[in-house]
Amino acid sequence: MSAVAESTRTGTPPATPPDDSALARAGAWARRAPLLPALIFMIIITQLPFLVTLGISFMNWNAYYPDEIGFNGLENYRRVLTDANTRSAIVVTVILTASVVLISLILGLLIALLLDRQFRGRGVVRTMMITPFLIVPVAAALLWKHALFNPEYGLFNGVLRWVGNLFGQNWPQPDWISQAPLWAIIAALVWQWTPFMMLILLAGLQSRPLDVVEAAKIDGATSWQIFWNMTFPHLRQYIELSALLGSVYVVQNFDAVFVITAGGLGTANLPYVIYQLFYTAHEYGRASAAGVIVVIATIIIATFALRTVSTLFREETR
Amino acid sequence: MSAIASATTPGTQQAQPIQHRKKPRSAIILSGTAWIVGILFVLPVLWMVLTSFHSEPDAAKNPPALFAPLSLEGYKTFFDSGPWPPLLNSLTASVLSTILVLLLAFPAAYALSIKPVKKWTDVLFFFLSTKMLPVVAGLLPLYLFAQAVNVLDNIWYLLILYTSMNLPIVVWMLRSFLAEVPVEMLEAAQLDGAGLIRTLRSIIARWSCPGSPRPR
Repeated sequence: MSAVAESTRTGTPPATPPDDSALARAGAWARRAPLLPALIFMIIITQLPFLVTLGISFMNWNAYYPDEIGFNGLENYRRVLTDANTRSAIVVTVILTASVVLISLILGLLIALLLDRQFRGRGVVRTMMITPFLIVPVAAALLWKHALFNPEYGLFNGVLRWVGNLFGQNWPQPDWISQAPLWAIIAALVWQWTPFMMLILLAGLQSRPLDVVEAAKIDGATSWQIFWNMTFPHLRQYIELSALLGSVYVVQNFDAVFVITAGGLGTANLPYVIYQLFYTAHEYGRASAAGVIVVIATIIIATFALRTVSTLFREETR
Repeated sequence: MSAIASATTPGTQQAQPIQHRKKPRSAIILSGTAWIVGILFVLPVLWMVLTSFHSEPDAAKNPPALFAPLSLEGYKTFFDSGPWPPLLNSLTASVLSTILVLLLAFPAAYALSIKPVKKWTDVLFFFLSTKMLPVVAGLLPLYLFAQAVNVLDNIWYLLILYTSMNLPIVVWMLRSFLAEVPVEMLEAAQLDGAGLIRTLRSIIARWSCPGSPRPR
């Protein structure tokens, strides 16, 4: 009996592993199948062109000097990294991204908490909140530049004069964009990105288990205790998600800088500098090198954020 | 048994109205704040809409001419300038690419959350990393390719590019919603004999629609 068992046991291993692994392989492919169309699409549409960009970044390629096109080694990278314009653009990009993401995250969280309550007209308020995100970025930038910031007929100065008149005074009419150019861009971007943050955080708030909160209430927990010990930990991954997505997008922001200040007054960020290299200087090689540097820097920062502070990638696999 | 059940239900029913009956001042203040914030955020848009109905001189007045006579002049000029081809192009590209994005992103998000592939974090990171190249820096290869295969000025090429721009963020957001679907519900559906399509439609799609009633 034991011999039989022994023999079958020794007999089966050679037979089963291929069977098992074939099954496992089929299972793995069944899991992968839904992913493949999107993955292959993205690889073809984004990675093949990126390889070309990478290649161009090592070339001396200026459209004005077609005779000089050729391999250039790391010269483009050296010039981009030592250029004063690029350096100030890096600082601007960091300030712009950090302030827009932080401010809109805090505002978005507060508004999401306000909208998580039941009250009359909640749907209407939510729709009003989402509207800025639905506007085409260029149109939003134009709206801020001309309809709001304009020193002659913009809404801000209009309201200032109107309220000033009510008090019988003539308040100064600031030229918002030239007095605080970076803050003008930040304000316009915060207006567009707060709804995005709010939407993700609100979805997070609504998916939190309410029975536990009720239990805590019965046990006499204060609203602050409930928020800090229960809501906030649950929201954490949503906060991280919105901060990560927001940062990746705001780093790339071009529309607002291009429209509101045209990169002047010390507001040129990296995408704008790349745009200038590309369309004004026609330095294709250097523009590509700058682009590659942005990708590498973003990947390093994002990896660092995801591996150390973030909980996004730490969920157990099912 | 039934006596206990009937005894507890009225109890809970009574408890709830007590919680909701009194409306403390803080609730009114919070609702008011929510309304004010919402109005502040939509105000620039409303201002744009109002200005669009004002004549050129009225639109440039300071203090603002709130109650200036409305006119359709701006709209007339706009529609006389032959805006239909660009409008139709935008409509085609955005609607079709949204459909394409959803068709690609939904299964992908499923394979990254509900039945995740190995290394799903790497795949997610790859999707996000495609957004990290400034668009201007990536345009040249795309332009050269379009020139080579003769699809410059082609709406379908735009549609493909739009799809590749929006796919990553949609995958990320759908994934984070799908990750909330409890495994027990999926297992229950499977035990009840629901196939993949049925599970997707009746449970996952319903769960991941914000605003739809979901069991908590």
